[in-house]
Amino acid sequence: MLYTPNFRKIFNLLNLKKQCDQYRVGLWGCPQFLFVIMGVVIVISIIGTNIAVRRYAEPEISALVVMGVTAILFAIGHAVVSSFERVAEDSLAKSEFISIVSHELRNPLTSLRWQFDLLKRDYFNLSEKQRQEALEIIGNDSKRMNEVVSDMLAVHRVEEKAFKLNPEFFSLVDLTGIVAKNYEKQAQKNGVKIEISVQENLPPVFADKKKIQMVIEHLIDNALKYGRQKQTVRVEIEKDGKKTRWSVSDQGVGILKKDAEKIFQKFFRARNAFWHQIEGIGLGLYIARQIIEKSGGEINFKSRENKGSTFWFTI
Amino acid sequence: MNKEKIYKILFVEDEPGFQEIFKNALEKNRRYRIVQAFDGQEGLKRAREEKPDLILLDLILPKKSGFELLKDFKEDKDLAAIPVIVLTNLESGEDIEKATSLGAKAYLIKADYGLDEITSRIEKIIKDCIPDDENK
Repeated sequence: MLYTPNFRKIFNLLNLKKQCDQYRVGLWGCPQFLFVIMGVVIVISIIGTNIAVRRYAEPEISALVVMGVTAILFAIGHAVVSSFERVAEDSLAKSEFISIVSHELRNPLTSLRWQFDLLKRDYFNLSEKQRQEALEIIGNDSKRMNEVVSDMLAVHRVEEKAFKLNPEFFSLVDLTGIVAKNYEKQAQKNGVKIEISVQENLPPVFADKKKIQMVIEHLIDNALKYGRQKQTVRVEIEKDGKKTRWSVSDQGVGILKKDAEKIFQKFFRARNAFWHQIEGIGLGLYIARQIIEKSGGEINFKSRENKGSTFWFTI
Repeated sequence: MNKEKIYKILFVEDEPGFQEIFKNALEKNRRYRIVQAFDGQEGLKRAREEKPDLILLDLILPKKSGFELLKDFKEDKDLAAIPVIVLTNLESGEDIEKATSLGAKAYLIKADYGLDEITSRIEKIIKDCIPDDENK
């Protein structure tokens, strides 16, 4: 048989845009594209050096040219390495995803089914207390699954290109009060008090109220989960230049130094979260960051291991 | 008559709900006694202390994963011979292969079974894995 080169395949390999779309990164974060740029720079610099050396006999100038070219190549090399890292991180996030879904979604689902089986089979043999326990587990399982699913949907939404915010004027203080009230029961269960302190005469903020509520919920939820029992979770709202600064502090397990820079990444779960058996799928802070950044604000934290963390955002 | 030996089964699982269900279901058979461990480290500690006849092991665990535990069991000469049944919701071929190559005797995916099915399956595997009384 005659060998015909697969032109389509070769063309696809040359089609950088398609290649880079596969990784879901921008052109400047895409290894293939950066390699091509590097190649072009090398070719230009070889030609350029040749011409320059012929024109200017002074060794200083050729040394300068060589240094300049080296610097450019170094910068591009650095970009290539970090783009590879990002692509690798992405695939890591994917495998994390599978493990998290199986633990956080299938476990409650299985538990739901088994508790139901238990009730169906042994309903009359179970004591009143056992029945209550089974029903409570069923309730918690379905609640947990609902949370996981809504976080996943939220991630999908904030990542969409068409993600839109519907800003309006509202009082951040009132909104915080409503959210805190919703979490009162959960806080009481752990013996935690939620304290809100507010600077006087705060102007309303202009943002997407529903989305900001989501951010506040995630941050307060984290503070309750990672804080210790019988302590206080403190929310502070104050002016910060033209913006408003919202922060929540707990006195909990804190964040390990080596985890600090990954804490806002998708599906990242802090090492000590597993240690302390804290449920979660590693999406809350990622969603919060997307929303705050798209609203033109800033979000960050400071933390000390075993002393607690403060998460804050401005809007 | 041979006196009935009581079999000690170590169950390493972080979900308290699962722990309760299996304790109730398996201890109905009076020859089984369940020892509970809620994370990987506790699992290893309990295995060393209790020398169970069989280990039921979840894979995604706090503090130490089930895979790490399988490795630890294999390397510990006192524990290497204890049969381990993996009971998990991880279902990729890769995970199954990894667990089996680390010495798991059986691999059960939780979500595939109803309560009666899973308990009867576990009981059957336990019967197959644990040798009958030596003095019989």
